[in-house]
Amino acid sequence: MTFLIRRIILTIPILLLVTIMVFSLIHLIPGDVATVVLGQEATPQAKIAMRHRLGLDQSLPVQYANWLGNVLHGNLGRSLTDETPVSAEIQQRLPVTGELALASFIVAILIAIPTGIISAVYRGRAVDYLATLFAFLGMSVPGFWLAMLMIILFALKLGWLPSSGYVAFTHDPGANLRAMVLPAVATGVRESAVLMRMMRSSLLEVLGQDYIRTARGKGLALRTVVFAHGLRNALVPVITQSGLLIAGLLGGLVITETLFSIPGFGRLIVTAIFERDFITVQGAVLVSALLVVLVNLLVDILYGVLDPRIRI
Amino acid sequence: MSRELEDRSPLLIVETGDDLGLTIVRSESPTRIFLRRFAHNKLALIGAAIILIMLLAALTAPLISPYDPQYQDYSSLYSQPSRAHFMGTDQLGRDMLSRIIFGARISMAASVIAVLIALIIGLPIGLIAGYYRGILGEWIIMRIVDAVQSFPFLILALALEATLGISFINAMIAIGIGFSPAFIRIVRGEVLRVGTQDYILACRAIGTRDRRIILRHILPNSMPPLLVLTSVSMAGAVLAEAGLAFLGLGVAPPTPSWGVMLTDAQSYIFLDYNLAIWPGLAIFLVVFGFNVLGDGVRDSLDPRFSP
Repeated sequence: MTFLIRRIILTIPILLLVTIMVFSLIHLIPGDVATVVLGQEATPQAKIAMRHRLGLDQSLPVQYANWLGNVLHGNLGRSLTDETPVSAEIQQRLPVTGELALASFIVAILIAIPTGIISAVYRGRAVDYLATLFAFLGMSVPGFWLAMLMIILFALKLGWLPSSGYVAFTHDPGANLRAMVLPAVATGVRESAVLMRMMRSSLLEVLGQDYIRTARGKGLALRTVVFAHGLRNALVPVITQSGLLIAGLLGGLVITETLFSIPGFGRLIVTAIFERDFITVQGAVLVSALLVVLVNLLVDILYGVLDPRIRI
Repeated sequence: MSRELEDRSPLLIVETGDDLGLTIVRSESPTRIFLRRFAHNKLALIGAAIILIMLLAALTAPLISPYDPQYQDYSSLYSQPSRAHFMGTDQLGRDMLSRIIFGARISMAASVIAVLIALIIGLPIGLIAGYYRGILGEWIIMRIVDAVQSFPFLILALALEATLGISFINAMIAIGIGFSPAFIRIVRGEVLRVGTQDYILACRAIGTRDRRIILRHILPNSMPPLLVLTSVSMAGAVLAEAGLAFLGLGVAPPTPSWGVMLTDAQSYIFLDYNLAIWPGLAIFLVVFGFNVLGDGVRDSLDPRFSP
């Protein structure tokens, strides 16, 4: 219990710093913010109104306090382009990105866990080298290029899958899943390479332990030892570390969503940047960081639950 | 067998002087051990070769390009690979090979500049955080590092570019800032590791000043992991620059850049697959090169990590 409380208290300064950084973003804009948002030809009155709207006519601490107060109430401000509440926009887009992230994660696990096990069990053999090579290829291939190659092959040449677009799951589950395949694989391959290396080294470490030698020594088959004794312990760090992939996944999805025209969270940020909609950028960046902090916290707690040695 | 023996060879090489019958014992320098191990790592050598070739291509681009990368030949749009155009031409009739060669300049520059920025930020801050623990090191610096690392890297880069303005150099600053926490952590960790060793205590005991201990003793001894991180970060920088350029947040067209070429390729994907193949392959090769290079350096520095 003390472990849990300490871990939660530790996130408070991080959260505070994250909000300060996100708040500062708008103040890092070189020159006059109102001019940047409205353009050179805007009237002085419009600029003054914009400065007032952004709260820039107040002192910094007051601005931060007001902004933080709003954020704590779930109010991320209104979009500078179409006046919709940013929080509503994010709420609408997060499930799309969530589904995509989950699908990519499943792809990554399906590739990484079996490959990692084979690679560790047959350490130093040809399959191990092949798996290692695959990991390097997976880590090096630009996700958006892989996506384009798959679009060419599976969408344009073979016509099996749609080349872009998004259909809500509630609207047409089949079409939704078909549209998810290519983006999920393109994003998942890179994560699978990282995860596979984790799985391999974790299982190798476990297989080097005394109790594994004992299990082998009393005559158990390799298969039984690996699956019943080794894997159970090797998976603990892999499961928890895999939660840390969420940050990379969220970033990678920005490009994937743009490429496949999927109306997700990442595309919201990119569009907002080009429209100079700083309020939306600010809100979206804040939410992405909060998600990462939250997942890291959950992962640490899960690690403590799975492995009592951590709770100190 | 002999390979195995060589890999585990002790630090001593015994040479027998045949004329006098003397046995001369000299220790092998760490650099030689490193080079010998590295030379045995085929994948790392391939990586080094790829990087070297790309670097040469970037430096000598105007000399080796068959065409002007901006020259638009409207009589041959979307031409497929041929004797005249080894990689074909793009939607404006520009020679793909020449654009790939010139594109190497942007990507290689990105790998160097972004990592240099990360080093300039990370090295001093990491040293300070490790050497002066207590409120400044533990509480202020490391919590800020935690906070920066809470942002998904690419989203942080996007946000920074959105505020600073869209340009190549701002993209480099954004990537460099995004990478700096990893450098701060590695340097700090090394300072903590090296700082407790006896020879540092001895330095302190004889009254060596902090500055000298940090620069002459701690820094050189923290180089190995820093070298690995540098190589791997260069891979990440190339990938990130290409990604930002693909989104339209890197170099502005018509400067030839692999990321921008892929944006074009996506727009014309229904017309010509050929445009998509080459720039992606180039990015992939460079990133692969830096990645296996970094891994080879790691393996050669520390035999425990070898597979």
